Amino acid sequence: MVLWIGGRAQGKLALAMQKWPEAKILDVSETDAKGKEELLRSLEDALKDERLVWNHFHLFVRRALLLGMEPSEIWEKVASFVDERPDLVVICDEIGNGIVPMEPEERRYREETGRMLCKLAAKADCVERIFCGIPVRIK
Amino acid sequence: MMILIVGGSGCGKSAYAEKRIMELSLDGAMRYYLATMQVYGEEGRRKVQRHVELRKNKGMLTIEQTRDVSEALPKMQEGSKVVLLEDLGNLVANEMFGEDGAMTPWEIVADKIVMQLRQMNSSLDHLVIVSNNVFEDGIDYEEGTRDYLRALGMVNAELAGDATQVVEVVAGIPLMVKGKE
Repeated sequence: MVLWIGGRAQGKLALAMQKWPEAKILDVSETDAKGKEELLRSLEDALKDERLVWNHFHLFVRRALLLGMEPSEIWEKVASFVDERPDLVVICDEIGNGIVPMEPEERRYREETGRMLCKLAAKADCVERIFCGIPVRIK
Repeated sequence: MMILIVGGSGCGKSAYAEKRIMELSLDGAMRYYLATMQVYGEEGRRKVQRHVELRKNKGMLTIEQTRDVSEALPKMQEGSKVVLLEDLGNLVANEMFGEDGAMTPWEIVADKIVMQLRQMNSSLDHLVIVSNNVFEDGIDYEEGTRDYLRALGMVNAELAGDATQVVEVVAGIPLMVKGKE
């Protein structure tokens, strides 16, 4: 699995589409899943595709938390997904380099996304940070 | 040569950029400082004047160009010249948000700035550009700010593609993202 991390608007998706033009882009933030079953189903449906780029991973975490999933449950699903698809590319925004927000749910979103990224990075064969459109390999 | 220097606030990117521009002009090239910040009020004016004087002591001429950056070129003298532009964050904001409250679409702003800087770079010995890393706080801003981030992100990435060196400055330490120092 390949993990790409970087600030917003750094050209991550454009770079992925250039690198893997045949890949299907999975973006859970574009579904209007109302419950966690629906959310997870949209992930499982995408598993069938040949080459898969999972974009906006942070927004998936946000959505899953909002739908009441516990971080351990989210990670369990993500881990099984990654295990099933070793060729997966996960793209996630860096969202943790700002002022810690006042709102508890905003804090939780950043904290849990960060923790999830650490675990994903540990699992990944390659981790790259995209900075100004330039990938810098950090693992 | 074009060098893009990017970092957060107070990271030491300006000091690093000044160091680089001094090194790049040892052959006696004329040094210019392209200031893009819009100055407001008397206090701001005084602050800027102090910086202008400080740079003059370093043999650097200041040109204030808050927008239409390529118009700075005819204000420079003939002969070899190096330019330090500071910074893209201000330039993008000034191009995007007009004084009358009108907003220019982000793609147009990004294209214009990239095109003008490419054009200007071809007339210079060296161009050192300071830009801002404002992309990592995870805040879901309203549309105007989102568009601003898109424009600045696009300008950064496009210029990074052209640049010989891209440097991220963290706590005063330059990290080479592209090229070798």
